Amino acid sequence: MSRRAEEVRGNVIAVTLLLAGGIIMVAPFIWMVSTSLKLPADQYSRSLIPPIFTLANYHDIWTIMPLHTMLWNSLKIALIATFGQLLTCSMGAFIFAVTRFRGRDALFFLLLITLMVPQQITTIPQFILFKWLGLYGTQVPMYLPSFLGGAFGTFLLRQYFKTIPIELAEAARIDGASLLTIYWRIYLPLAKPALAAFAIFAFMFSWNDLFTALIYLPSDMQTTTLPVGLALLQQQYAGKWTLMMAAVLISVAPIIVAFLIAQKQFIEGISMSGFK
Amino acid sequence: MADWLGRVSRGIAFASSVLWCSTALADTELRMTLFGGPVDIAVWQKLSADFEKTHPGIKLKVEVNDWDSYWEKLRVLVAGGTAPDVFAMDASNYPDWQARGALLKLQPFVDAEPDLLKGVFPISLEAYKTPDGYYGLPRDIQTIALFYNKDMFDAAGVAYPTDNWTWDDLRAAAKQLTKDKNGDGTIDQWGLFAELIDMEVFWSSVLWSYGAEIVDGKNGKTLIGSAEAMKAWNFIAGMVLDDKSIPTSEQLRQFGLDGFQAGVTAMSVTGHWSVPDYTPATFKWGVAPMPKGPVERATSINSAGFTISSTTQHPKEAWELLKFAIGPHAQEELAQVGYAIPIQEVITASPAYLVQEKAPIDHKLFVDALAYAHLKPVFKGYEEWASAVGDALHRAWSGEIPIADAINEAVAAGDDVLANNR
Repeated sequence: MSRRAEEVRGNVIAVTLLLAGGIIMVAPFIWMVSTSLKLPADQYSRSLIPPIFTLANYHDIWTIMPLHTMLWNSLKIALIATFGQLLTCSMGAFIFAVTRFRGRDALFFLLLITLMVPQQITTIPQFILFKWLGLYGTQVPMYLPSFLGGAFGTFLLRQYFKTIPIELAEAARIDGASLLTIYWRIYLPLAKPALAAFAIFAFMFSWNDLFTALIYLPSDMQTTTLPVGLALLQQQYAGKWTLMMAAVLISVAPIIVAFLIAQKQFIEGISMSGFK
Repeated sequence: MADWLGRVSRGIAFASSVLWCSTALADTELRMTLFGGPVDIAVWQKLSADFEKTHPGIKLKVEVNDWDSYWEKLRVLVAGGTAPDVFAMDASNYPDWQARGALLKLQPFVDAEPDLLKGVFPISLEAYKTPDGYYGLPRDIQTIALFYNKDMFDAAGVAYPTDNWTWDDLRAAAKQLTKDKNGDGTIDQWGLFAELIDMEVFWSSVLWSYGAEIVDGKNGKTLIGSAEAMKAWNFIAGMVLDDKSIPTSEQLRQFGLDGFQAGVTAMSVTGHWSVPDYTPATFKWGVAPMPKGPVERATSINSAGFTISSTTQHPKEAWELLKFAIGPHAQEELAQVGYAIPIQEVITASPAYLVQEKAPIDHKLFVDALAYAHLKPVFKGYEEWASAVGDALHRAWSGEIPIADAINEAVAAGDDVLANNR
């Protein structure tokens, strides 16, 4: 058998496996789309293609609750929080990765320790703090903490910054660039794939955050976020899968869009990292 | 420079005087939270407008959350010192919240208006009485009844449940209605949908009807291991494990949580709160009283209620709101929503409750059930106790351990909880 044929055979096997994996991954999502287009009476029908197509579920969900105000609240908060995380985590990561100062490793270790503290422990003190600051009942507690860095993002980005040759920073330093310039002009552009990956994490974390929205925001349809609304829906419409799936689909759509945008950055970033 | 400073300070003085005036003139703002769904938001939008109209000077904000979120949120709000003025309570959780000092004592208000509670079903008040007086008042009643799918009974040629049914009749019918319709070797239609972990809809009623008791809260004793209770447990275990006519929650997961609503069980034991959920069903269904046990016929009664925060700035206004919520007007509106039974006796006898256009069933049956209803036990440490007992029951229903062992375990764990909460 020629090498070429062997290569082809290898490709066929790889593609088949990937395709099978892909179908398994995407099947529940397709099922969700299909259910959201079915009539309530057909919700347990086993056919993937709805016996009768209907968009009524999407209409009904809107008559039950103003999804768009909650979508907007969620989107606004998630975008601000993602921006805050990207900015402050990358700054912290840059300092930890590039500069040397006394106590740096101890500080970094301290930062990592905060990963071990469960949310339940900090909830009440944080709540009282925000109340004391007069921010209870506003959306600020939902995104302000994102502007104070975070262990996960700082760690992730520091590891990536470490893979960028330090000589780049040193050369720029010799040419008279300030730390801020090196961070903004050299490290951030080179770290696009890592930033994109982290942006997805940060966006999803904020988007899915039910608990913080629950405790800080008045639970009315005008101020609260989508997860709170979805939870409310579950109370009254558990078992009405057509309706639930339509609502869930609307709620995951922005995450899919965020991922598609970030994915383009992934590919660009990977093709760019070929430099020596 | 000095001129500039002077202008600014005058500006600040003016602004703060305006601010001061506006707060002095502002309405009292009340905040109320409750558990429910979108329909509760709608009905309370109307009710709060009515309340504001009859109570000028008070602005009312109502927030609704689903059951789980509601309690999570309330815990943080109370701990953080931002408790809502009035909040919904469930009778089972009431003693714990009361013991934590979160609730305002209502007895002085009640004493000042002796006629207020005259038309209210006495059994619903029972749960909210403490040795110290009332710290909350009931807003609805829930009794449990037997729902049945007429289409399934017709198809199987089984006679509908009657007033004279015993548990044995129910078991026999359930067995007949449990089927493998498509012949693939697994059951796809069950006789009865019954929540098996929490006591409210099924096992408490069975135990009482066998002459057993559940908890002696005063002396801290779990009583579900008595000889009478064991007979009841063996009856339930016979249906779940031998007949397999009651599906487990794992089997039901693919159908949503309610097997009756999904059309895969022929019967359901549940409260009036299920009526709006069952109404849009594509099959015909009816209701019957709970079957009789060897000793008596029994059902469970539980009351959701309203409480006032012990930290409220506006106790008088909050009391007005609570009175409004349990009063005839609000009760009539809430009856129309169809989930609960009103606590005002007159309204349960009026068309507002008895004639619900969307659900043409025998609503009176749920009120008549009060004659043989037992109060769902209310005691300190309830949540912890229920989860300890539930864990043991879960092991029995999954077939991991025999029911007798599970009950021994439940009694031991339950007594521990009660001892810690004395």
